[in-house]
Amino acid sequence: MNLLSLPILLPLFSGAVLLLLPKRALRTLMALIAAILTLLVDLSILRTVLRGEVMVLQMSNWPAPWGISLVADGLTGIMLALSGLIALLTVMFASSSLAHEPRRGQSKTLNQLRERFGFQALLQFLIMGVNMSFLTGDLFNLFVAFEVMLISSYGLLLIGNELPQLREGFKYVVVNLLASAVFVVAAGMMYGLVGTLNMADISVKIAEYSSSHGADARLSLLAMMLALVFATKAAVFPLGFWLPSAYPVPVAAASAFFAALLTKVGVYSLIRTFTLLFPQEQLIHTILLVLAAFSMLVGAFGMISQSRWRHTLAFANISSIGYLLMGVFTTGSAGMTGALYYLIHTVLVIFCLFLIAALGEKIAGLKYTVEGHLNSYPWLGIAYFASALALAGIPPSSGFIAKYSLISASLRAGGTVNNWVAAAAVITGLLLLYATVEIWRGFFWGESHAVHKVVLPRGMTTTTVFSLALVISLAVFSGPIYKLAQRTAEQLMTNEAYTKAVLVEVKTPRIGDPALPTDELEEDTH
Amino acid sequence: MTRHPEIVFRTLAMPVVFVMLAIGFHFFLRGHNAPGGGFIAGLIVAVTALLARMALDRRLLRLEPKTLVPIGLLIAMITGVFPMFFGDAFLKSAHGHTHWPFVGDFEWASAALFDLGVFLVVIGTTLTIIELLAEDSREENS
Repeated sequence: MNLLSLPILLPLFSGAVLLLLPKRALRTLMALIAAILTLLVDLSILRTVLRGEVMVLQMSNWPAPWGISLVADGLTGIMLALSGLIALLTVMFASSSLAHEPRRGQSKTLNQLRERFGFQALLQFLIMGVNMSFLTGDLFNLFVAFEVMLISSYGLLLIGNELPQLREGFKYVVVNLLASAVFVVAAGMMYGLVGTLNMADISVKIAEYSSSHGADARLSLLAMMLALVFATKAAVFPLGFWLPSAYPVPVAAASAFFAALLTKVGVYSLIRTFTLLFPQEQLIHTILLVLAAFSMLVGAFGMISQSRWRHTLAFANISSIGYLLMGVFTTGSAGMTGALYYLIHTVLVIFCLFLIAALGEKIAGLKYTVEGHLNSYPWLGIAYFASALALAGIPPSSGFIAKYSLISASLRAGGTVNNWVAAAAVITGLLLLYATVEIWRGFFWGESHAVHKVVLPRGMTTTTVFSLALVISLAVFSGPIYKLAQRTAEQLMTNEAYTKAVLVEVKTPRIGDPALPTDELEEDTH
Repeated sequence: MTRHPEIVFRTLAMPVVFVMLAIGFHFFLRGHNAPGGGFIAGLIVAVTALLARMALDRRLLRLEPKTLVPIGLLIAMITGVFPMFFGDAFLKSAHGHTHWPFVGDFEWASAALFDLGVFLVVIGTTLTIIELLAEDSREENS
């Protein structure tokens, strides 16, 4: 049986059931079971695609360019597995944290109301949207997935109706609606120009067209529009202004999930667009490479400027997007390898840091300006130390391996732009180190004066330990994971396997062709 | 909410509600082969329910509109998943003809069940949104 539809269907089903379940315990159980099952399916898909296969599912058996295809190659497999892991940890963290007060000095009822008004269900719908955008092989369906994702993220951002949530939520909605509008226009233009929305088909047609006609301004315009949309979602430097104030406002579990995965959906779409659809648009590749350098630096400086837990980490997220794009748009498979390894690394590290920030907020409120917590919370300090090393990229951690491979790939590719971007990456690394030390100095280091002893909920601490274990195991098993990234990057360099797997049944449509579902066509006409 | 003070509106509302329900039903069925379908029918029925609420202060539905959303989602999803148990693809629609006494030849398609799910989701969402907005404005007025 083909498993490809399950990462979409399981969250949809559990989300719908979660809306009907009357008790908190039942909802928690349901959400956990759904997340575990989805993770198992994701891992089994990953195992299949790692053999080099490209899995395809044609929805309701309509042949490829006409129907909607779900496609999984190595990149999709990695993204799905990450989303499954993060989703499970988020469900665990949320079910524990929503039973307690949001942070020190607030009442418990607000969080309990959030849970009652369908936090878990919205989370499941969000997971469904994320998985759908990784799986879909159709440009318009990608738009639909984005909308599913966005609508549930609006809900998660606003649930609880606190003032900052409403203020930032409004900006978030406006920016994302604008980006979605551009996306629909781009999809419409794509259909008008190329005559298809199936990504494999677009890839083949654009490649044929450009090899016979050369560059075409209309195609560049389309590529630019899609880059604009996905860069907004990924929060690349000038377009990511909405992120640092929006991501810290929702419930801790939601902002951890947002930071770990939502921007990476934008990056995933950029990778797909510029490896599969527009590999030839060199100018846009260069523009995005330059913006990547700016994102890194701006993110790092932003981190230094902040003194609130999640605001600081939101800027760290922007900086990590810069590193990702640097790898993606460095020519050759070495850069892509670094980017994929960095992708796995940054999803896990940012998630872990957000969980630690949530615990920190529980202890001391929104800011990390009261020092001396190391004596009272030694384990939290160790967890922070390990993941901060990984974020800054200090040698024994996975961050070092990731950044080393990114920078060396960039230097080997040569050229002025690449050299400058590599320099920016090195400087950003130092700035990130400074910013993470700032948190360490502000919160953990020093003499205790006004340290509060708070009993941290066991579910929250357990989840943090799990995600920390993932961060550390990423460094321990960096060999096999790096190989995995390498194989996937090489797969992304050629599109033949992808397009061939999707477009198996393509034939020119003729009336009476047995490959076409002719009876439906005839019925539609009368 | 009380009955609307405008007598013309109130008197006309009752027949109009029935006509609109019929139109909604018609659009639901014709949606398989022509413009229409669950989404549009759902909107029409939701507007009808709103009209009944405003003019006659009557709820067309006994249950909370919010509960229609998960029910509709589940109906649509189960219809889509059903063919997978017979080794067919997700969302594959079965269809055929049956001969009914008096009615004659009748063409059915399982996609209509999917549409029913969409129909319920649309009604549920629209009515929930409108009710929440109405509550807010009532709080402000009082």
